[in-house]
Amino acid sequence: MSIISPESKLADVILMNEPSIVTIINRFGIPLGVGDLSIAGICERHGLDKVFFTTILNTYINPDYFPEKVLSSFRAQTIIDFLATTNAYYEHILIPNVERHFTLLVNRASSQNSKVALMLQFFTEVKHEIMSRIANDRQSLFPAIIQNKRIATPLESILAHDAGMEDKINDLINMFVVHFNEDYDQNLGVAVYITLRNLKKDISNDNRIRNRILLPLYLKNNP
Amino acid sequence: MKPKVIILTADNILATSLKHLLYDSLAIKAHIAADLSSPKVLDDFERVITTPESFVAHLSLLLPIKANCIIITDSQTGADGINSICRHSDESDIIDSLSGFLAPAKHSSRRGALSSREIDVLRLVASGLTNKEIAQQLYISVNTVLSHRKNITAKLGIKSVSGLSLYAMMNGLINP
Repeated sequence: MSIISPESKLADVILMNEPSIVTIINRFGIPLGVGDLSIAGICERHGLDKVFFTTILNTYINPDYFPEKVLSSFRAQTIIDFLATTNAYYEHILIPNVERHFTLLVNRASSQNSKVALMLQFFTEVKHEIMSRIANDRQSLFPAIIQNKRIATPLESILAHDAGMEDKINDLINMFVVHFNEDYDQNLGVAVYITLRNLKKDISNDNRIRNRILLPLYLKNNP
Repeated sequence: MKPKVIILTADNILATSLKHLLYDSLAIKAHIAADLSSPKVLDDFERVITTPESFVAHLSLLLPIKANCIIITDSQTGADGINSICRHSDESDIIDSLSGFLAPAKHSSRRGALSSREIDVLRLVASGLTNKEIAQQLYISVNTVLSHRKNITAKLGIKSVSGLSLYAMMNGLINP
């Protein structure tokens, strides 16, 4: 996949990539209806840093693209602002979306189909983990990084938690694809599957930015 | 074929002890490094044994290959998602765990039915038992438990303990 630049037209970037790219653009306060402007033009209009915006888009579009030096050069506050917006997206949009589809799937399943209810239970566990991380970010990690203070939680616990969370979402997706073989509403099943894949992709990119940029930044200030 | 192992820690006593343990017990010659002079050094190794401090210090290099890293921790519980081994374990348990970690997965990408022994192990994992407890209950070594767990994950595509518990419940292996 080609790397985009500030000169690329934002409309082309949206049209040539997966629909989920729109959710990244929304996090910067840019709605659809982007006209014919380049990324640089849109950023100027919205008062955004065009290099940061382009770097984030490239990070989400290309799994192999991860310019650590460029990302490390941004201010901690800039990265945290983006991660906080991403957290809000999980909390208010993505997770409720998965949950809504999942609950409908359970409600429409026959009473004999207990498997789907168990899968929803598993998703609820994953949801609580994500919510607890968001709360910890808000109350402890993000303020500590901004104020250059130490956090109580050992870093290896944070990393293990993040890795475990990704594993669980992967497991749930695998469960749908490989092991879930009862009768269920196919349309809703596909909707749950797609929203879970979006969650997995987003969390995985989010973890790359957190673990490879934000935490090393914290370590640099707290050796 | 023995894997190429690097012991990455600034703790020289720990590194030297591990190096001798690996050679005496598993006939593996490990390389010791307190730090990585260049990221390319890692290209020469297939497995990394390290401490939480060194893992964190080399986060950007080790995180993408976390499946090939094992961390020596102070805690018995370990961490979901990252291989770990407790420094206070018995010598035989440490050797068993290292041996399991260093062994290649037998069926790394093959899906298929679980063997009856793998189902026994899955039931106990799903019930929340540790590897050591499972080994004691089934009268097998921790190394064998680890090997069964690798195969279960490869066959089912499920890594987390919660995911394995869900699979076990969905298939009536344990009660919800």
